[in-house]
Amino acid sequence: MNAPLPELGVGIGWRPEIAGVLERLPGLRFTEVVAESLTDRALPAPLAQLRERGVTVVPHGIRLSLGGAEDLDQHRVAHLAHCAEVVDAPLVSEHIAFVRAGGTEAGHLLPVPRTRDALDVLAGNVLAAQAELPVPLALEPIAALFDWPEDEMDEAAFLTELLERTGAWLLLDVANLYANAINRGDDLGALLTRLPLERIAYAHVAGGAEHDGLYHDTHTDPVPPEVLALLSELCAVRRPSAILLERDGDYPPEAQLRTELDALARAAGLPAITSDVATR
Amino acid sequence: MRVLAATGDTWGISGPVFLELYAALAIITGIITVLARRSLARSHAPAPAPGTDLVDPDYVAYLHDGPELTVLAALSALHVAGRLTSAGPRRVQATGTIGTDAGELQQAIHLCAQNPIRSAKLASAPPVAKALGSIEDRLIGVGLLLSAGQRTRIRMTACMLWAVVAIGVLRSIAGYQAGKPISFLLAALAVVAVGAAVFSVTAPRRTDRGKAELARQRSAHASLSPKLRPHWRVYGPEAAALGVAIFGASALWAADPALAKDLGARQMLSAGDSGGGSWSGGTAGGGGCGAGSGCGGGGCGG
Repeated sequence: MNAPLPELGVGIGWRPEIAGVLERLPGLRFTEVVAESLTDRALPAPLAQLRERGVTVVPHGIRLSLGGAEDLDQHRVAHLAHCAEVVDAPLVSEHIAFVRAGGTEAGHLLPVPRTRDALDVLAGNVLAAQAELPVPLALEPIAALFDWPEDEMDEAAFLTELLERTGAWLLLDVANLYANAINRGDDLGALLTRLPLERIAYAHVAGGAEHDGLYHDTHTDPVPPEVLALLSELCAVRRPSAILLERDGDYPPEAQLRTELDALARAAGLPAITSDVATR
Repeated sequence: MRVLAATGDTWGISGPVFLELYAALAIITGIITVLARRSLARSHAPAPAPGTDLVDPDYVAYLHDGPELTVLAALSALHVAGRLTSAGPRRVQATGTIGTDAGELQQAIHLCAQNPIRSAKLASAPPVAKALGSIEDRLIGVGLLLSAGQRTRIRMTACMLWAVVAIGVLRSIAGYQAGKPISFLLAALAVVAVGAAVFSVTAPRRTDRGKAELARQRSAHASLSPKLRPHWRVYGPEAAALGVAIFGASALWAADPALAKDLGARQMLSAGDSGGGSWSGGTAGGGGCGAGSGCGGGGCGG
């Protein structure tokens, strides 16, 4: 199976508040938009302009609750499919998580217990979603602060089996890997050798902060050097086709975001997107 | 067969026929007036050389909505730059120093706000009014804003419609004296008179090129639209001013509601409304600032 994304280099998530920053990245070829932030109306003008520039846009769902025991919300799946069509996306992505149970919205991405039963439910939901989606789906394991006591499998085995059963792609979040290593004691070296890296569609990198020995994947802090180092390590083994910086609030001045994007490109061994590739 | 004229018709034309002719005359004159106004609003200044586009937010703000919005845009920039703080309801005060990198308007505002000052008074403070005046002069000079003379000429085009009104008045008097019914004519007359009155008092501020420039700014800086809640810390002071300049006070409400509230900035109905963008804040004395009008004195008033 061919990878769903070509080599697209470093990107940054499109957020309305920082839309202008993306406009001024001449080397940008790839971004991601939170599917739930798009409406059925016309695309926001700056996002449409990026599309016209030929920038690949991947809709990223955050509320499908693929790990939930309840039936999938067909409206949400249809919306994700609609988003893929309006931005002409080659791929969409969602989280391996549940966000609601028993009618209560958690307002958070909650980790799925790594049990056989949970895997069955998850795989069933993923297959049901894929049936409605016009493009391939990539799944993102989340950062979690804890493990469920009933876990029967480790992260690598759980993910490998899920991807095998569904044919879905992997959206690997490097910051989540790091968070899980700190918070749950995952062995990073072992994870990198055992995760199905050949199934990575693209990777996420985000900032976070450590509090009381726990690492919080905040998306509102700078990317720590440890996460950049882990990105380098991953790229040395197998570099993902595209690497995306996620920033979701407490936005720093534009120059700082650009510096962070340059650091990301350096860590991944990719060209900087802050200057025009053709003129460098 | 229609009877066009009969003995006893006023001016030898029957009432219904006159009414038709009158309506036709009014419509044609109305169209000519609109075309004349449009032609007079066309910019005759030489087109700016490439690369000398309007980039300064002060100019964009003034082009959009005049002195108050321009001051509001500058206040937004100064606030983002940390050179100005709110000093209670509708009052501001300068903080720190301001370099020469800031434009004349921001320097003037900073100077006048050394002590807390009502933001509504800023536009009429002499140094600020002087800066606003030179902005206006330049916009007129490059053919983006209409001069007072051009606007007067545009309003003068209404005299054609007033002539049509006069014909109607004369006919009404003649008809009335001859004991003819004139109610339809009076109704037509009223419509023409209202049109003439509106054209007599209104004139656009911007030339056709000014309008086009504003539209270009709006699409070139779509990412500063308040609909996207742009983060001013990311973009910096200049972009903050540009956002307010292009999208009006609603840009300030979206990005910095606390400051918008303190300044009493008016919520706009729609960000895309080209006529909007006004900011309540008293009448400004900006604009004309000729020699000897006290602009050079440097006094900031209270």
